[in-house]
This record gives sequence, structure tokens and C-alpha cells, in this order.
Amino acid sequence: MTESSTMKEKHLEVGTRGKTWCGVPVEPVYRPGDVKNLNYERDLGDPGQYPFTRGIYSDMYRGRLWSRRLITGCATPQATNERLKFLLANGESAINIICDQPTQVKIDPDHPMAAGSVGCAGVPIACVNDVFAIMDGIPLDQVSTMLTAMTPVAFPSYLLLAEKLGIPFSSLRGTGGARVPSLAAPVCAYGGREWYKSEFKSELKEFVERLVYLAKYLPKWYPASLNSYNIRETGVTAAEEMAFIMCNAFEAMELIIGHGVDPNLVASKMAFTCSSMIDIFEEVAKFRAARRIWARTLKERFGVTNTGAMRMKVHVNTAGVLYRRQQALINISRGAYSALAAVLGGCQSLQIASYDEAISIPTDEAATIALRTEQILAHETGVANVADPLGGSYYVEAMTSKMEEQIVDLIEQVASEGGWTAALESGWVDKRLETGWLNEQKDLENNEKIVVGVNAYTIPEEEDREINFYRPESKSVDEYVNKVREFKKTRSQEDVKRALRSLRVAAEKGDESLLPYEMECCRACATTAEISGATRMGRGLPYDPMGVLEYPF
Amino acid sequence: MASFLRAAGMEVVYLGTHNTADKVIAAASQEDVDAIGLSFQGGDHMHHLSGMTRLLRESGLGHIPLIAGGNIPRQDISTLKGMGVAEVFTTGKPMSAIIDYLNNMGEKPEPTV
Repeated sequence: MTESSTMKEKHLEVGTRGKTWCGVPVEPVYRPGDVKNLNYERDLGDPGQYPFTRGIYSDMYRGRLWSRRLITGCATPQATNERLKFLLANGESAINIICDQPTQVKIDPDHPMAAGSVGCAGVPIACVNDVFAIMDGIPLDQVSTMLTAMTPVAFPSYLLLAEKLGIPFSSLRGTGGARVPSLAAPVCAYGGREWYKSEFKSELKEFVERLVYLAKYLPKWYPASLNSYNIRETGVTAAEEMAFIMCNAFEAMELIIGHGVDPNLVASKMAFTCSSMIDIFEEVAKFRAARRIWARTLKERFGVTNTGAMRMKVHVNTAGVLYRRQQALINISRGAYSALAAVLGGCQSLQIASYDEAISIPTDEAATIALRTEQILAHETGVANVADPLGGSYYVEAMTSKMEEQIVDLIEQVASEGGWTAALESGWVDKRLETGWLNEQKDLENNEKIVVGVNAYTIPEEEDREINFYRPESKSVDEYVNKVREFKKTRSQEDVKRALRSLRVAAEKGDESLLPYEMECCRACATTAEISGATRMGRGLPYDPMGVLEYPF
Repeated sequence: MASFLRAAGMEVVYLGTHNTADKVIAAASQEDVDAIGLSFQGGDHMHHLSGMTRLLRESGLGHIPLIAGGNIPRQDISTLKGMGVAEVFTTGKPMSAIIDYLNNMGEKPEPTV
């Protein structure tokens, strides 16, 4: 769409290439004939009824809205606490904490390689005090907490805080503290493939123990979230997103059940973090098909008998990869449409990416707009009135069946590769991810896909408004890092050493959950790197994942 | 990125994630590269690029063009160039622009990514 388009051309402009965003061809119109093989009881069921195509609860948002839950992690624990309180005061109904790059790879902020990256992309979490500072004044027993922060300090310290505040563990609601074992995540937020491979067996065993332990002491807690969002950000299709995460989940479930855990228990503790992109009907069909496949597979393949345990519970992050830096404010629309898709698709929890996501973590203003968008969706658009409002649409039902076909086909392809682990090791999955990314780029550069502001309706860079964005304040980050250094010096070295030794021994034995040991380490003021490193040493790996530092005790 | 450049006929030495400036410099010198490309996601580009440009000069490799990409705000580009970064390709720039830039630098380029 260039400046030379005439008025007539603009008037006759076609808004479609006849395919969904992921390239599935679609008809101009759908009719009863397109869904003639659909059987309501068998394929749909009411919302809240097996196979849950129409939603996992019978009343959906009329009974309770999805959680309005924004990912939060600012440059310091203090700043993060302020932002959390700000968002809660503005109507956020649940929280989600993400940690910075050094913490994500489990090194401390004073590690030589952490320099310059502390407080970037999330909050640094080095020790128990950081968690206490982040959560200061936030009622743990009233707010569901998602810990996207994968540091071994975050969850144990969260439990120590509950203990300190006299809050029974049984009332804690949230997700995190473990990761569903996989040989590797094909795409990690900031992690590397090698670690997972070497720790896989011991991680699996520990996960089994942790799952059973948490099921007993924190019945309302989900130990881990299966993350398909990161996969989707690479450019793979909606069907691939669902197929890959389910293959990951199914293989993990098989292994866990193989260790003697009741299938109903395992199933009931599975939870997902998925993407939602901008082709509304494709995304809705994706979620509906996924729920159907999940429920049927759990019942038929894994022998799950508790119908409630067959529910696929989903937290959605609207896709950050959709956002462009050109004319950045229009990302607000992209987020809104993606959120609409997620809600029409029946998600349980939702974060809309802030419009400045392409540049940095959100400013207060950008985060507020994301939150308000969710609130407008909830209270003004009417989408919360009716469960599965698109159910029965000829298009959406036909697309749901189509999506199911594609997902099942991919699951079978993975099976013929030898399973999820084999498909990862052989490079089959990597090839799909790479192809996905290349195709995305090609489609964009060939104008096969129109992206407003990028290859259509562009404005010269000099005229594009420069938006304010968030920068970690280097002074407060430096202060924080110095505080951590001081903290390491002033704690009881004997206490830390003793706690870490117990952890190391337990990690080596590998026959129980490490969570109680991690809690003792946090209580003794051990840090992220020390706890993670001691565990690694117990499993025969070097202390420092970066290979720079030696065990300090 | 590496796949795209290879598809355009370039030889790419891909170092993956979690590198130090030393590792990059060692690889650049060993492989006798024509260009170095670094990608940033999290907002830490200023710190690492200032270190990188300095180390390249100190190692006698200051003649190798250093290209940066990823989530870099437009406002930072002139500062980065002032430090010695040859060119910045932010997300959203077409791949062809990067290919053209590398091709116009001289004979068959061998970028390290």
C-alpha cells in the first residue's frame, strides 16, 4: 500500500490473502455442510463437560473472570514491589514475577558475566531478602502468584515468607517452583540446551518427588507451567505450538507415571502458558481443539478417570513477537485483538504484552494500558457474558476440526521420530522452529503477509514518534549489587556452608524432594548461584554454569 | 539469522548465547572474519557494546566491522556508532538490508554471529 495507490485502489483493497495468519486456506463462507460430521455430545459437549472443547468450566467468565495477571519484573526488588502494588491497586487480580537475565541462568548479580545485565528483562533475585522485598505488603493468601522466575531461591523464599506471616501453605495459590522435565526446552527464555541434557535424569526424579510433596502440602499450587509461548515466538504455526507442548507434556507424564505417581494426580497438576496471536478465529480454534485433544488423550491413553483432571488449564501471554517498533503505539490494538482471541478461546488467565515490549520491559503507563485493555474486554465488550460464544459457528467449528487434524498429525510425526526427546536430539524440532522463523521473515519481505507499519502504511523513521521507554536506573542497580556483596559477607558463613552441604548430599542421593533443603539454604541466606551450584555439584556437574567461578566454600 | 545469512551464500561462525567478549574476539581472530554481528534482547546492549568495541581495538581487531542487532532503541544508535559500532540493524529491518550491507563491505564476507 504505497502512496501511489489511487483512491479507487484503496476502495477496492482486499483485506485478505485467503489464508489464516499461519497459512491455513479458508473459504469465503462456511455453511452447515462444513460441519455435518460434528456430533455435539462426542465432539463438543457443553462448557465444563468432557471433552471440554467449549471451555473447562460450565459458567466460564460469568462465574469468575480470567485472572488479569501482568508479567512484572523491574530493575530492583524494591522497584518491582512498587510496580506490583501499583498494578494491584489498578485492578490486577493476580501476579506474575519474572527475573532478570543473570538470575534466569542462575548466576548471582555480582558474577563477572552478570555485569550490565542485572535488572534487564526482569527482577534480580539473589537471596531470600530479595523475595521478601518483592512481596512486601502483598497478601500471599489472597493473591495468586505465578513465579515465572525460575531461580531456586524464589519459591522456597516465598514459602519462608508465608511461614513468617503465619499463612498456612494449604491456602497458597499459584504456579511455579519447578519445571516439567524435558531433555531441553526447544526455546528457553534465556537458557541453554546443554544443561538440561546433563541434568535430565536427576531432574526428572526430583520433579516426581517435588510433585508429590507439593500435592500434599500445597494442594492449590501448580508446580510448573508447560510453556508453549516461547515456542510460538519463533514463528511456528498455531498447530505446531499446541502439538509440541503436548508432546512434551505427554512424554513427561509417561515418565512421571512410570515412577509410580497416580495419573489423576499428575494430570490435575498440569498447567499451560500459551501464546495468543492475532488471527482471532485461528487462535480460538487452536484453544478449542487443544482442549479436546488434551482431554481425550488423558482419558484414553493415560487412563485418567477424574473428569476434572482432564481440564486443560491455560494462562495466556499475548504474543510479543507480533509487536513492531514502527509506530509502536499501534501495538496496543494488536494486544487487544490477541486478548480478544484468548478470551473467546476460553483462557483462565491473561497477560497482554505492553506496547513497548519490542523495546524494553514496560513503563508504568504501558503496563496500565495493557491492564485497562483487559478490563475493557471484561466489562464493556460483553465477551464475559456467555461461555464459548463462538460455539456453533460454522467457521469456528470447521476450523476447530481442521486444527485438531493438524495437531494430531504433528503429534503422530513426533511419535514416528521416536518421541519428543528423540525429536529434540535429532534436530527435527529445531528444523521446524528454524523453518517457522524463516517462513515468517520471507512472508513479510515478500509482502505475502501484510503487517501495518512494517510493509504497508509505513512512515519515514524520522517522522515516527519516539516513545518513552523503561531503562534500569544504573544507580539503583549498582546499589543493589553492592547490597548483595555486603549481604554475602555479613551472613553466617557456617550456616550457609552447612545448609548447602545438606542440599548437595540430598541432590546426590536424589531420592527426595530438594525443596525442604532449598528452604533451609534460603533461611541460611544462601544465594541463587550457591543453591543452584550446590545442586549441580551433587549431580556431578561443575558449580558455575558459566565455568568461571569456583565453589566459594 | 545464521540460517538466513548462510542461505545468502555467506559463511557463518555461530557462537550461540552466553558469550563473553573474549570468546567472540578469540573466534573472530581465529576464523579471520570479515564482520562480527551481536544480537541483544534484554536492554544490556550499551554496556556490552562499549566493552566490545574497546576490546576489539585493544586486540588489534578494530578494523573488523562490528554490527549490532535486536531490541536496540533508535535513540541509542548514534551513541553506539560513536563508540565504534559499524551499523545497527534493529528488529523490523529487512534481512535483505543486512545482506546488502555485508555484501558491500568487500569480498565474500565471513561474519561471526
